[in-house]
Amino acid sequence: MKLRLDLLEHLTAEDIRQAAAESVHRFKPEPLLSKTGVGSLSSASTEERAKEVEHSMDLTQKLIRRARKAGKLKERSP
Amino acid sequence: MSLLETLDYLKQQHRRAPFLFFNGNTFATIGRELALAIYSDLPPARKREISSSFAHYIAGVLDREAMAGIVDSLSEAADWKTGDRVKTLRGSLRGVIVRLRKDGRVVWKPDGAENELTALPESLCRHGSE
Repeated sequence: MKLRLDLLEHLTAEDIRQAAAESVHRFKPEPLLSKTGVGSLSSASTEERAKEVEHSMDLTQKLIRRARKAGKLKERSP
Repeated sequence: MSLLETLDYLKQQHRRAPFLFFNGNTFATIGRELALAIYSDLPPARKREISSSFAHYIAGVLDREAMAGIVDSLSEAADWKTGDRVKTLRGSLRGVIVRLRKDGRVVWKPDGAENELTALPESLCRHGSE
C-alpha cells in the first residue's frame, strides 16, 4: 500500500487546529499523562465515529484538490 | 524521521505538557490528521480506525505493539478466500468466511452464531494464522 506523503504535504496547521477543537470534549483538560504516566481519551460515540469517517473523506478530498491546484501552479511556472 | 518516530515524538510532547490545558487533544489530533492524510488510499472505515489508534497511542492509552498491530492488520490488502479466519475492524466479532459473492461482498459466519453475515471485504481483518 502506498503511503500518501504527497497529500501529507498539503495538510495545514489550520486543518489540525479545527480538528483539535472538535475533539476537545473527549480529553481531560489536566495534563494527566505528564502527572500520572497514564493518559485519558474517552470512547467515541457511534455518532462521533460516523462524523470522523465523514471528516476523513472530506479531508482527503480537500488534500487532493490542494495537490491538484499546486500541481497546476507548478506546471505553469517556468 | 519515520512515522513511528513521529508518533513517539508527539507522545513525548504530550507527556511534557507544554500547555496549561488540553495537551492531549492537541498532540493526538496532529497524529490523527497525519494518519488521515498518509492513509488516504484506504477505505474510510479503515482509515478512521488507524487514525484512532494513532490518537490513542499518543494519548497514552494504547501501547506501541497494539497500535502497530492495528495499523498492520488494517493496511493489509483484503484478498479473501473461503475458510479464512476474520474479525471485524474493531475485533468485536470473529469468525470464518463461508463464501465469496460475485458482487465482491463476503459471506461469513461469526463464531458461535447460526446466522451468516454479509460484509464488504474492506470491513474485515485477518484473524489468526489459518
